[in-house]
Amino acid sequence: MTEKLSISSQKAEEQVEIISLKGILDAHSAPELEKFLSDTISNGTLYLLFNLKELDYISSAGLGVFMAFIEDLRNRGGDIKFAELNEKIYSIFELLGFHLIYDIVSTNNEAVELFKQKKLRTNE
Amino acid sequence: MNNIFQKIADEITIKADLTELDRLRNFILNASVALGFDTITSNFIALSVEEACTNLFKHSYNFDNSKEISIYLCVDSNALHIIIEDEGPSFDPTRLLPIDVDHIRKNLKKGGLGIFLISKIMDKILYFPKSETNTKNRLILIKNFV
Repeated sequence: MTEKLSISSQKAEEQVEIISLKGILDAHSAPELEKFLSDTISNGTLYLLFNLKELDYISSAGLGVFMAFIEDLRNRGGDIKFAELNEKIYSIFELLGFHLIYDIVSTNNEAVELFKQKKLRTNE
Repeated sequence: MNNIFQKIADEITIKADLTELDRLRNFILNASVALGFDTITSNFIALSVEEACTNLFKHSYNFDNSKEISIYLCVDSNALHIIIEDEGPSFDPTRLLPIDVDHIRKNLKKGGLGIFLISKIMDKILYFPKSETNTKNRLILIKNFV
């Protein structure tokens, strides 16, 4: 659809996917991410980590994509986390108070460890 | 545009099409940086204009890309005034304010995020619907220099 948003993902472990976003996430590119997430979650992924180190820009349409999926994931014991937000992206999260409702961590490893603990608790 | 401001620093006209967002964003970013706003604030200003225009694409023009939006940048000694003109049905977005963002966050509702962002970023938002003497709606976003 558009090449301005690059989405790459790797499976960190069972049900845990690390998704790296690069470029511009706006109303034009948001449907591409929405489709990608819909497919990823359909395949059984419950824990999504978004690495936003190389994301240059996000608008409300982009933020809305995360909002569209998090409730369903949390209801099923899953979650969304964000890692390596740069200053531009963090400032927008902060403006909306999203840093209060989403876990923002420093590294991918930190997030994966937290997901592992959550999985253990969920499976107890 | 009626001469409510003596000096238009710059202007751009875009089609009501999402492919225009990159051009719009870069135009506002470059102009804001040139006017002395820091990078984060310039990014915020570009976001505000993009949110306003995306709302117009969707709600006013129904993504009809034969329609256009004109954006004028005017400056005075205190502030940048961004004037956004459209010819769709009049709708004053400031009527949605104040927005209970806790409600949006807790209920994960997408609606209203755009105007909430604009209200957090801009120092003042004014709206003048089209009338017998003015054929265009005018949304004015004001960002102070300090």
